Amino acid sequence: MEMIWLGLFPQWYVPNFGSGYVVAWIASIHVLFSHISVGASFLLAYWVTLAYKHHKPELLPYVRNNFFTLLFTSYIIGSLTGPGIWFSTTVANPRGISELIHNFMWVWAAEWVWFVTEVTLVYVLVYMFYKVSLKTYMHLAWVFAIVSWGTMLIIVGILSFMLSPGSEAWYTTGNVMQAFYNPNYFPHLFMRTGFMLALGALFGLGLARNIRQPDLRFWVIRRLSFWGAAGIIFGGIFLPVYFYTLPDRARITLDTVIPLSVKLSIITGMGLLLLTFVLLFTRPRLNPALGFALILSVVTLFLAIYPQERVREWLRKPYIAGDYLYVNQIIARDVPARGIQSELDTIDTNGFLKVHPFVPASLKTVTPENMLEAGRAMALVSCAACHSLDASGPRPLVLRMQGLTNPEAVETFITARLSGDSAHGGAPYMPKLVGTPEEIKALSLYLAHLNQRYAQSSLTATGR
Amino acid sequence: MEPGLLLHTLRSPSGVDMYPPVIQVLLVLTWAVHMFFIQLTLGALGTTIIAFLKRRRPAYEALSTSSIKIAIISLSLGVVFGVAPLLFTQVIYDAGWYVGNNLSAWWVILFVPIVIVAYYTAYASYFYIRRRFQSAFQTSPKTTFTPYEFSTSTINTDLEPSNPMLSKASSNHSYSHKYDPDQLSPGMLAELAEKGSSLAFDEIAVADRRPQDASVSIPSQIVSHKTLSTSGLFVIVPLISFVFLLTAAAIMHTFSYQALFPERWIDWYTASGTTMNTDGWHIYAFSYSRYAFFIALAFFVYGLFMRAYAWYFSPRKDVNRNILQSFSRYGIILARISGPIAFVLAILTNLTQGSLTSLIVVLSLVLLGGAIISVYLPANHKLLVVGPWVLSLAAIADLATSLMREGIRLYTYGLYQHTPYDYPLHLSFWGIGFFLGTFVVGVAFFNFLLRLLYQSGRVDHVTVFQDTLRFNRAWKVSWRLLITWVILFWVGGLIILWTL
Repeated sequence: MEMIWLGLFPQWYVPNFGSGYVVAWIASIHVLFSHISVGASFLLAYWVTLAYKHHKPELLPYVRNNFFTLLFTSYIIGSLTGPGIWFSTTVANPRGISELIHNFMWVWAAEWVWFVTEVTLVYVLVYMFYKVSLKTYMHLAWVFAIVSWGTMLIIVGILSFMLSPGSEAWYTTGNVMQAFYNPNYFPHLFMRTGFMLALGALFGLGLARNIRQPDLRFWVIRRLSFWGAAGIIFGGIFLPVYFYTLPDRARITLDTVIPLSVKLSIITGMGLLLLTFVLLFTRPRLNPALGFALILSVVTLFLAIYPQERVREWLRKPYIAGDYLYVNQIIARDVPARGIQSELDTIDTNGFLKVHPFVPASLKTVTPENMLEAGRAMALVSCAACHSLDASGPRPLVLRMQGLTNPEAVETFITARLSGDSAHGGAPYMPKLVGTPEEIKALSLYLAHLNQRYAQSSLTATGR
Repeated sequence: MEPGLLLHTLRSPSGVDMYPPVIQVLLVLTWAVHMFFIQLTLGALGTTIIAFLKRRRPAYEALSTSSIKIAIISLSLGVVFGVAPLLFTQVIYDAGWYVGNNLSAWWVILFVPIVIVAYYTAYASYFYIRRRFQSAFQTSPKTTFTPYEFSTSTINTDLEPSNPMLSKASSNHSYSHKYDPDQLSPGMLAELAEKGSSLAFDEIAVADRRPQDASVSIPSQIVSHKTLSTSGLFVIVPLISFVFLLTAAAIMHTFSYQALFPERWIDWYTASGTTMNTDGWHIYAFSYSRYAFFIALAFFVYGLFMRAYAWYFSPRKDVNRNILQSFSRYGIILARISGPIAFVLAILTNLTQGSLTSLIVVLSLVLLGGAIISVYLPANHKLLVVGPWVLSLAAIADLATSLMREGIRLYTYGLYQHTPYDYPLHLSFWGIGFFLGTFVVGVAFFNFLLRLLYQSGRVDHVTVFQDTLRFNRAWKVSWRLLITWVILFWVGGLIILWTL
C-alpha cells in the first residue's frame, strides 16, 4: 500500500512555558511599539502642521525630540519584534504561517512597500531636520503618518482573516480580497486605530517634560490628553461591533471560557489610560515625567495588550487561520477554490503518527511495547501546540482531564471533549480528535500516566 | 522518506499566487538589496572599530564618525529590506525554510534580542564617537542630531558681529508673523524659536539659500575640535555590536544552510528514528566557508561604498576633501584585500557543496570575479571613481551572490528531482493588482524622495524644493497617488464587504 504523508512540520516544544507564549510575548511587545509609532506619527504630523500653518515654530524642538526617540525605540525594538513575530510563528506553527503567506503573499508584499517607505522616512525626518524647508518637512511628516497607518491597514486584514474569513465567499472563489475584507476587519481596525492614538499620545506625554516653556508644555499636554482620550473612546465605540462580527464559536469562547479576570484586566488597562488622559487634560500642571509614561506603558502592556492578544488567539481556537487549519497543523475543512482538502479522514484512516513525516519510525505503529512513548508522540503532535505536557505552562493537560487516571476513562473523556459536537460534550474551541483507535488508546494511556504522576507528585508535595 | 517526496509533501496545499519563476526573480533581486545593506552594516562597524583604534589621526577619526552613522542607518534598511526575500523564500522554498528554522527554533528566537543589543551598542558608539571625534564635514549645519541638545545649542552671534541681521536679535520679540516656513528648515526655526529672535526672516530666508555668500550666511554651529577625551577601552562597545551582528548573521546562515539538506531533516529531528528533538536548541549544519564568504564580501562592498561616498560628498563646500580622499583610498585598499578572499571562499563553498557543475553557479562566479577584478583597475578609472559606477560593481557582486545561492538551491533540490517550478498555481489577479497599485505609489514617492535626498545631501544648506519645478511635480504626483490609494483601499473594501 502506498504510504500517505501529510505536510506536517516538526513540533517545537517549550516546557513549562509553551511555544505559543513565546509568540505572544514577542507579539505583545511589537503591538506596544508599533501602535506607539503609528499613533505618534499622526500626532507629529499634527504638531508640524500647527508649526507651519499657525506659526508655532516653538513646537519644532519637541517634534525633533519625538522623532528621534521614536527612531531610537520603536524603530529598533518595534522593527525587530515585527519580523520577530514572523520568526516565532515560523517555528511555533510553520504550517499556520505558511498558509497565511501563501494566501496573502501579494498583500504582505504591499505592506512591505509601506514598511520601506516608513523606515526611510523616519531617518529622513530625523536627519533632514536642518536640510529641508518646514513646508517640505510637513509634507514628509504626513506621508510618514499615512504609510505608517498603511502598514496597520494591511496587517489587520490578515489578522482578521486568521480569526475567520467571515463568510463562505473566499472558500468558493479564493479571492484574496474577500478573505482580507472580512466583516471583522473594519471594527478591528478602528479599535486598533483608536488605541494607537492613545499610545501615541502617551509617548508624547512622556517627552513633554522637555518643553522648557511652561505655557507651551501645558498646552501640548492638554492637546495630547485630548487626543489620547479621544482614541480610547473611539476605539471603545467599536468594541461591541467587533464582538458582533465574531464567528459564533468565538463568541461562545469569549462568553464561557475566557476568564473574567482577563476581561477585567483589559478594561482596567484601558481605564487607567483614559483616567490618565482625563486627569492631565484637566490638570496639565501635573507635568507627567518620562518615567511615568514608561511605567504606564509597561502597565498597559501587561494589563491590556498582552491579555488582548491572548484573547484574540483564544478566540481563534481550534483554528490557527481561516477557519480551516487547526492549531495542530491539520487541515480540517475543504477550501475548494484553493484545491485544499480536509485531512481528518486521511488521518483517521491511516494514523496520525504514520502520516506525520517527523514522527520517528519506531513510533509510527503502536505496539504494547511502545504504547506509552507513542502516546507521548500523539500528545506532542495533537495537543502540544496549545497545551503543556508538564504540570505548569499553558493549559497543562493534567489540569484539564479532571484527574482521571484510568486510560479508558480518559479515552471516553477526550473522545467526547474533542468530538466537535457540542451536543455531546464537544468544546467549540477544541479540534476534533483524530487518529486510529490504537493511537487514541496510546494517547489516553499517556494522559492517564501524566495524571497519575501529577497526582503522586501533589501527594508528595502535601506530605500525605 | 525520500527527500524529493518530503519536499513535495511539505508544500503548502494553498499553492502559489504567481508563476514561480517570477517569484524566484523577485527573491534573487530583493535578497541582493537586503545583502547590500547588511554588508554595509558589517563593513561599517568593522571599519568603525579599525578606525577607532587608529583614532590619533584625524582621517581615521572622521572615518569612524562617518562609518558608525552608516552602520546604524544601514542596519535599519537591511532589516526592512530583508522582509521581501524572506517572504518570497517562504512561498517557493517553504519546506526548507520552515524545517531549517524549526529544527533550531530557539536560535530563531534569539536572533531578535541579539540584533536589538547590536543596535543599541551601535547607537552608544555613535553618540560617543560623534561627540569626541572629528567629522569629514567641517562647518555643517546640524545635519546630525544629538537628542535633547537643542536647549544648549545657540546661534553663535559672536562669530559675525558685523552681520546686520544678527545685530537685530532680540530675545523677547514675537516674530511669528515674519518668518517664512517655505524657506527655512525646521532646525533653523527651532533654534530661532529658542532664541525668541526677531530677525528679518526674509533676509535670512535668502541667506539660507546662498551659504556660499559668506557675508550673509547664517553662522552654523562650527564643528570645533572636540575636547572630550576618549578611552581606548570604549572600542569594546562597537566590538560587541559587531560580534553580535556576526552572531545574528551566523544564525541566519544556519537556517539557510540547514534548508539544503532535506535528506537529513528527519534523521536530525528524530536522532535517526529514536526520539523527537523538540527542544529547538540544536544546530545541525554550518558551512564555515559559506559564512566567511558573506563576511569577506561585506568588506569588499563597504570598500566600494566608501569610494562612492567620497564621490557623492565631494561637491560640498563644508567638507574636508583630504579626508574624503583618505576615505576613498581606504575603500580601494579594503576592496582589493577582501575581494579575492571572498572569491576564494565562494569557490570553496561551491566545491564543498558540489555545485560547481551548476551553470547558474558558474555564471554567478564569473560575475562576482568580474566585479572583484575590476577593483584592480587604475585607481582613477571611471569605474572606481564615479559613484554610480562604483556602486554598480557592488550591485553586481551582490546580485552574483544572490544568483549563486539560488543556483546552489536549484542544484541541491534538483538532486531529488524537486523544483519550485511545478508548485500548484492559483493566479491571484486581485492580489497582484493590490501589490502593483501600492508599488506604483511607492515608486512615485521614492522618485521624489530620492531626488530630494540626493540633491540635499550634496549641498550644505537648506534644500528648497518648491523652487525646483520637477521636484514639485514629483511631489504632487506622489501625494495624489498616495491619497488615491487610501481612497481606493477604503471604497474598494466597503464595496467588497457589501457584496459578501
